[in-house]
Amino acid sequence: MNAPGEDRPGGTVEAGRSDPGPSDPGRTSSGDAAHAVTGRGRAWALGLIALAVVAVGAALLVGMLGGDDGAPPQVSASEARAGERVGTTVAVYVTLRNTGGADTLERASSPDAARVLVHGTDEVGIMRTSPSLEVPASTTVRLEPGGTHLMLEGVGRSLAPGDTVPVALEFDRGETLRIEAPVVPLEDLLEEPPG
Amino acid sequence: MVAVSSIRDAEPSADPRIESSGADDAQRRRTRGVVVGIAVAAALVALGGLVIGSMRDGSTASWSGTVLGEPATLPDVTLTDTDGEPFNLRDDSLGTTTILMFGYTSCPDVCPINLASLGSALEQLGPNRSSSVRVVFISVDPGRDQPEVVRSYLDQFDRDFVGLSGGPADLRAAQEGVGVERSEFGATGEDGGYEVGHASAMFVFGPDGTARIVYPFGTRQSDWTRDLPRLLDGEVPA
Repeated sequence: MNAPGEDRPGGTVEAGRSDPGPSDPGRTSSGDAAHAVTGRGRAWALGLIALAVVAVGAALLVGMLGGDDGAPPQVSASEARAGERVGTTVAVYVTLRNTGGADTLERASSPDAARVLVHGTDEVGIMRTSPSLEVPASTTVRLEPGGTHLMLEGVGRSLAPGDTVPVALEFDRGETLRIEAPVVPLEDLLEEPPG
Repeated sequence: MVAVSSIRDAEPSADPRIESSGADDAQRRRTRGVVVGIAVAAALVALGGLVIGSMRDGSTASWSGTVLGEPATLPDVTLTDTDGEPFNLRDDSLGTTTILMFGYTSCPDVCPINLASLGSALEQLGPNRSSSVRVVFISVDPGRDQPEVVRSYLDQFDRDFVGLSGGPADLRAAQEGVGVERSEFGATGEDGGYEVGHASAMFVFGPDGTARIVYPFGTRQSDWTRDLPRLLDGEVPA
């Protein structure tokens, strides 16, 4: 059985793991409150709760205003593949894994294309051209069929399976990543990507 | 993601998939915006799932596509084929199994992948079987997709694919008749280019002009080669 979207490229959206560990403030403070019984104990508990609330608020604020933590980005690419040429366009998919600080893909280019655009989707799901692609700290961003991808326009060379398409990915903070995307028949793009 | 409200090209993964890898608390706050965005996308997908769930009739365990609780019918709408001849969706499809989809020739990757997967599956089925299937591609981009543009586009996949175009009113009638959401034009870029949001599912209409099953984007060629022979043999999806 194949439920719609099950296990299909572009058919899943994985949110980050929520990981509610011991740092979960709500859980900790309610536990403390349960232990506080009367009088001074209650005052202490209230004080602790207030402190926890302030601490969480501060953490939130720092998190929102913080921006870059200064750690250098560490972006690597894998699972690169290119669809066969349709008209004069070629879509390229790649997985970008960032084990360092946040970075942004600012520009992509290929000797095979007049220009390379990032295709993303707008809030109502219509494909649009994005000026750039954010690769947040410690995240893996997957470019997949039906979703965000790199679109090579003005491709003059006829590309067949067996060929590879070179693409240079220029990041804002990190270095330029050069990938070689093997050309895959369009009908095979939905199969499992190569390791 | 198959439902009328959600068969848009891009919806299945409105954002690239992002996996957080155990970032500390502050880092998680920073990625919160992204996560919220993903949550919104996931909610949309879930909503689509609910809609299709309510349309479902019984188990779909044995089909790759989604069985429609309420069958769709081919509407009495006349469009123009790539030879410039009128093509009535209902009358000209009677007696033939029709796989119908909406799309446009500048479609980034959804339409080409749909068409290529289908074309490849039909080729594998062989001429005896594939000759009884007609693939009909209705352009949602009348401004750019003149009949000859559609023809040369479809020829990249299969010369027998039928390409239809029509004015905005006819196109709307076709979409409403089949029961998919109206296509929408995206913002025009600096170079004058634009994308079109549209239903990306493929409907299989039997020779009686009734569709009981629909195949979302993401349907592989192997899904088609498994399901099509059964559909052609007259098995009714339920």
